[in-house]
Amino acid sequence: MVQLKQVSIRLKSIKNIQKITKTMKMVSASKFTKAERDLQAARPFGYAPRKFYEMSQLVLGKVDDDDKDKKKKKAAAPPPPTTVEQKPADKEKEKKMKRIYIAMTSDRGLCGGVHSGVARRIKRDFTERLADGANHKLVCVGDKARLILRRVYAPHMLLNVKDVGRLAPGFADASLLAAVITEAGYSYDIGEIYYNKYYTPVKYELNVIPVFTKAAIENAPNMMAFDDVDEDALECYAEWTLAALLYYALKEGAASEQSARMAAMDNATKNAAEMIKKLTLLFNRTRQAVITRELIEIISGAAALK
Amino acid sequence: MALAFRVGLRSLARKLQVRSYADAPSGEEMALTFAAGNKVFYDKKVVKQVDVPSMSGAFGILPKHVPTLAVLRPGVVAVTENDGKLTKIFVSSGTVTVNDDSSVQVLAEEAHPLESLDRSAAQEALSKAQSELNSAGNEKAKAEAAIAVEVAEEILKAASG
Repeated sequence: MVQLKQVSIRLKSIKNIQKITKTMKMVSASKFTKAERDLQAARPFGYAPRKFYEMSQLVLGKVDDDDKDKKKKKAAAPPPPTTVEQKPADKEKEKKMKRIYIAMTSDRGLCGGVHSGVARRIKRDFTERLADGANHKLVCVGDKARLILRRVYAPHMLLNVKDVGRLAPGFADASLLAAVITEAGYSYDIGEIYYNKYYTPVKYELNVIPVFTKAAIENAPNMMAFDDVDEDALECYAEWTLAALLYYALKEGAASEQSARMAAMDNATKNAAEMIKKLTLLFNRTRQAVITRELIEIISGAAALK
Repeated sequence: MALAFRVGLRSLARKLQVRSYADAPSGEEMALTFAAGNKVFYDKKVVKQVDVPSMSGAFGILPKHVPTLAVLRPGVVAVTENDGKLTKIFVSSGTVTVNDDSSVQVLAEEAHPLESLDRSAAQEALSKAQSELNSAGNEKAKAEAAIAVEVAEEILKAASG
């Protein structure tokens, strides 16, 4: 027999939880509108460098245009996007390449599979490339990536960045990030930014954009077509591009995170409502049972006295 | 020798491009993407001319400009739209990329139209930056202050017309 008191305590706690999730949903909804608006302004920051990568043939294939995203996604989703020239002969070379993995997450959880998706993809790529500590380094932006990845990949970790996602990211954050990555003293051949790309409020998808250093840009297959650029300017350009891409990824990540949190909290509220319904029923039944029992006791007591 | 070879190759590449442009009419147009951290000014919009201030000197970009990369310095980006309207926008720093297909991407950290610049505020920022430059302790702080001075000077220049 369920105790009436227990049920009422549980009911109360779930009602509180529902209130919290409802509020969180509303908070992330307002943050999300802002993030989505900001994202519109940040999209060119992602588009421009990738357009250049395409034009200089650093990256094969077309950059995904925002309008054609959906079609493009279908074609590109199953195989991971080709980053550099990946002929079988280059496999050996690629193994020796120094890589940097930048995981864009945030400090906050309760937003569905946003962060774990990033971590899972990185884990997969690490296993695929048989990464060893010397050539593959990890930059965790946001505490969540660090928490998920530190158990297995602690030796790979180059940098951990905390305090992401509390406020809306700005360009200053991105340039700070780019500066610490540049100053970390690890010279990589190719970098990859893992982030969640936002499509609609109910859809986000993990995406990887490559970043290149000055040396890689210099040796790009189609660099001949470009006018001569002096060393300093090219270095500045490469660093600035890194900052721009990070900014873009931060913005995309923030929008997907908020949208995912909205969905997650919406579901949590619904689940809580369902539980409240069940528990209320149980509570009323138990109360009725208690009343009935007491009545029976009184009546049978009275009957015994006759 | 190597240089000569490179130059030769480049001119060859240019010739090749010219031919491809003749085939593709879209090459005649210049699609400008101009965005800053705060706002998108142009999104793949076809314009007539863009003048940008770069580290290696200011230069104008017309359609069929040779592909190039450059880093912006603080200054005024002037965009001439197809209907001849001239828009002047102040940028603090950033990059400009001219691609093979004549598309131009200008990314700036901060950018504002000239009319929204405040002359007196710029003057204030300039004097503050200058005093910071004088009191800067280490190299890094000095460099940062020098950049601030440069930006403030340029804003002042731009705001004064």
